[in-house]
Amino acid sequence: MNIIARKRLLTEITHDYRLDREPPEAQALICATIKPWNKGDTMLSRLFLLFPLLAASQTIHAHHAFAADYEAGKAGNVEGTITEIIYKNPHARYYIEVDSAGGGKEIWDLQTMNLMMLGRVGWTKDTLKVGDKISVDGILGRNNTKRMSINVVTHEDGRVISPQRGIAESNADLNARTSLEADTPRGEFISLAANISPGDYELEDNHAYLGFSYDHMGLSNPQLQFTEFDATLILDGNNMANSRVDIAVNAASIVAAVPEFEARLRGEEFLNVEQHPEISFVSTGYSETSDTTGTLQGDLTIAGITKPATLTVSIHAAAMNQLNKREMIGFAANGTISRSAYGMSDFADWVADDLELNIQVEFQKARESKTEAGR
Amino acid sequence: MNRKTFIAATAALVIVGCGQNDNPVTDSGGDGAPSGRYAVDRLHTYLSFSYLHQGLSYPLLRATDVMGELQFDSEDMSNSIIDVSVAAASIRTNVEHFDKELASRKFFNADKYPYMTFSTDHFEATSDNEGVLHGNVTIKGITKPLELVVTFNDGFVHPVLEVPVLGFSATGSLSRSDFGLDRFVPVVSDTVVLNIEVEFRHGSTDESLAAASIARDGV
Repeated sequence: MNIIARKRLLTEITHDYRLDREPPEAQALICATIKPWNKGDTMLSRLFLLFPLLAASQTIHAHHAFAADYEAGKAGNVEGTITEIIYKNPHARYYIEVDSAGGGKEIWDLQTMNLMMLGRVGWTKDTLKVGDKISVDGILGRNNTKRMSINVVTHEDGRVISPQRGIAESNADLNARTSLEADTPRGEFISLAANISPGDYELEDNHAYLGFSYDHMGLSNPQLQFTEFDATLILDGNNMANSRVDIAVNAASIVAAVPEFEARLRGEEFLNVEQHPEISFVSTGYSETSDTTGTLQGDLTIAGITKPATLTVSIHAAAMNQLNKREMIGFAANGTISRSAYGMSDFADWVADDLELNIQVEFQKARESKTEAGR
Repeated sequence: MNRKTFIAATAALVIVGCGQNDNPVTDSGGDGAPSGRYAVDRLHTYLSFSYLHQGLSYPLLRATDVMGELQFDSEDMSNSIIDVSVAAASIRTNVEHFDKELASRKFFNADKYPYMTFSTDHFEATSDNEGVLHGNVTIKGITKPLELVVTFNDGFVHPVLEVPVLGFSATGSLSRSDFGLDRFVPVVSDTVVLNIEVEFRHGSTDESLAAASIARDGV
């Protein structure tokens, strides 16, 4: 895999979205308002300016062979009583009974993240119980499937619960925290005062992970990864819809529990890496779902087949790395794709069609010389 | 791929145990899996862990050499016992120099402490298929209690292998500084979150017996 060629391709794709064509005063405004968040400050206004960097898209795709069940970026709300909880991987599910528009009752299937992600923010199987009344904001299932990907749960007891930001006493409380505050104090590197500016960001590839899992015979959820990939991020604070994250993955770099299985996945019946050495994601837009979260839409190409894809993004932090004086941003991206949509439908009786993506990435501001060369 | 090809493919992928099945089926349990000794199925076992790096991301690290033995009681899960050994040098970060650093004396000192182990104290069932596994984890020669929240996903006689199989998911967390692994705390979080997906096949193997021995007795 030729990394230089891939980077060039990504640069060309994103060339038209460069930020430095904005008038200097606009840039200054953007830079001044984009700071790492810290408590006790005017969080909302700053976050509002930061997170739209990743684009509020006006685009909603007309069809979704992909992201199997969620209409990209189409937010909604349902209220009801929890009737059943399936708190297990690959993602926790809550079924709620809702008063339907026609006067009867209907059951909605609400999904959220895997248990490891939930556990990080203190969301356990006891956080919500059968019989609880909840109001849920999330991403609606397509074609009126009565499914939703949870963004925020408002509980009858007043708690506001987010899979990214944990359990808060109120909306204001929730909005005042980032996901990382639920876990760990920030160290010196994250300490404040630094701006993160618009422009080109490159993958910090010592801290970039692309994992996925699926249900295997109802027994377990294997956790596979691709170990070699590159990505570029363009932040555009002035015109959010133009921000981009593009990813190119070496398909042959898949790792599983044993080499025999990896070899099989590289073969013709699955990834067919001889013919299709690269998996790519080219973003087309971003819609915010909260100050620190959003949905990233794009086109995902696997084994030569391209389908629209939606990733749920959760931004962890953005700050100056005081060691090397480079601005950084880190986020998670999760999503569900249907493997059969990419022609990989073998073992359907044994292995779920849905693949749950778990992407953890850090980006650092591209150096000027590099930026120049990319033009 | 048709079913025949699948069966051939599966058979080709099976890691055959060493046949020490001194552990006759004691309860067929309908379609369920019987009580008895089971070995970790390496083909379908994933031990991942994660932490918060500089507030920016949660790296997804893998321990790739995991072996273990389960004494499973299908009637009363709280009588079940598991022992696990993980090769300390088998952690993969996707960054070669980091892999080496983790195995070095800066972190796990894998030459001196080749295995991390987990042995069961007791299993506290909280429902038919869930519970908390209380045990002791030993890393770098230091032993501390560890609780894992366990879900028993399913158990049945595998239709192709014709051997009972079990599947579990488990999560837990530990403080790495408890085990002398405190470099870069708190810039890199002290809390490490474990995410375990494991399947078992009925019958002990040389490997599972060795794992149990290492976990219980250190040898």
